[in-house]
Amino acid sequence: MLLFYLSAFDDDKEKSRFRKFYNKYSGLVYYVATQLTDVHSEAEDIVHETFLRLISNFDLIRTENEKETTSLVYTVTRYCGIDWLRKNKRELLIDDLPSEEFADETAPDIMVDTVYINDIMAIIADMDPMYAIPLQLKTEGYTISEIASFLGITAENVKVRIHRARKILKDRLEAKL
Amino acid sequence: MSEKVTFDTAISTAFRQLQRQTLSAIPDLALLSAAFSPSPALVNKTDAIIYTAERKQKRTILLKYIARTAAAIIIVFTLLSAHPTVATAMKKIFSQTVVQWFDKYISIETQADTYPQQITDFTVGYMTDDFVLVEESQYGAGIYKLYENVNNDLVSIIVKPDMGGDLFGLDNEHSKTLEIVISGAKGIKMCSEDGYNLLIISSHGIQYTVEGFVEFDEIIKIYEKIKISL
Repeated sequence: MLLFYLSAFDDDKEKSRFRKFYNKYSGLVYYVATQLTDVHSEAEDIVHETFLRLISNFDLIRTENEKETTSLVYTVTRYCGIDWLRKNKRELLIDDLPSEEFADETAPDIMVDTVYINDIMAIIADMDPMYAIPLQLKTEGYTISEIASFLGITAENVKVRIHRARKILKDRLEAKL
Repeated sequence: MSEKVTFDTAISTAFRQLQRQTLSAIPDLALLSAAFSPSPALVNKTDAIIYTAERKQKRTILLKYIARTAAAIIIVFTLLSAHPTVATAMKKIFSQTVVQWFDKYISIETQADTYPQQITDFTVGYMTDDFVLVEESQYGAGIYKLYENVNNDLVSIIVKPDMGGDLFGLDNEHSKTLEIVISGAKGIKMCSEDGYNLLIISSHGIQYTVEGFVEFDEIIKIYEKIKISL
């Protein structure tokens, strides 16, 4: 029986899951990192930080869906990269901002005309990624705790950021209309 | 053509379209990986991450297998226990085998529903050659008798009401303890390596304890010839 257990652990396919994942997506992670910084060593640090997050949350990644995984890897890398650069360059961190304005995470009960989708896309593109990325992951179906785990922040912080992202979107959209 | 959608749907649609645009501009994954040549320091750090993840994975798999095996054993035993014959056999296996494998000292608790209030006396119809009565006394609500031979070997007999709940601590390391049934009465047989034998048996609310340095067959003969006076 014990031999059966041991043989299960030594299964090469099982052992190389992480290695395969790294080999497949490391180029993409590095590519995204180099879009955030020109310094090679900083880009490598971002690669390291990102894989630390991704591999420690490996069970949450639906690796069988390449498109979805690529999207997730891209998003998490972007977040980790911006987060790493801000922390290392001692810029203002979003975590330092007060969170008392957070009320709930329910969407404002408004209807939007589809002709304004492009306006929403423009607002998102212009929004601070530290707010936009948690909201994006939420719209992709990840739970609050999963997002918190991927981004390395608390669930409460995720809720605050999603709430703020929605508020920014609503306010800026109303200003445009 | 435009239509009204909820704010959430609009946000999801916007994110999807943005992400599609972004990802379509990214070169092929294989090309990106081929172009990426990490420094030796990063290779080492990555190996460490992967090694840690693999170890964690192994632990998770081990726990999963253990949990599954335990669940399977519990299910099998539960199903088997539902059958009266198997349940009795399993109980026997546990009481006679498992207990003896693991416990050097076991406790047996008696149980009885009805019992006499007092045993006033009993007669011993059979006693092994040479043993003579040397002591007799009251033993709680029962009677105690001690027999001795010329070699100073002793046989003691205690007959008392079986009120239930008596705890017997038996040496299971230097002796063999088995459940025994004599004429429908259930009891415990203990045979020591040094020739000491013991019988504790309960019949009709009366508990008999016969013990001494005589063969176990003799112990049974003594027990079978005991007559009670209530």
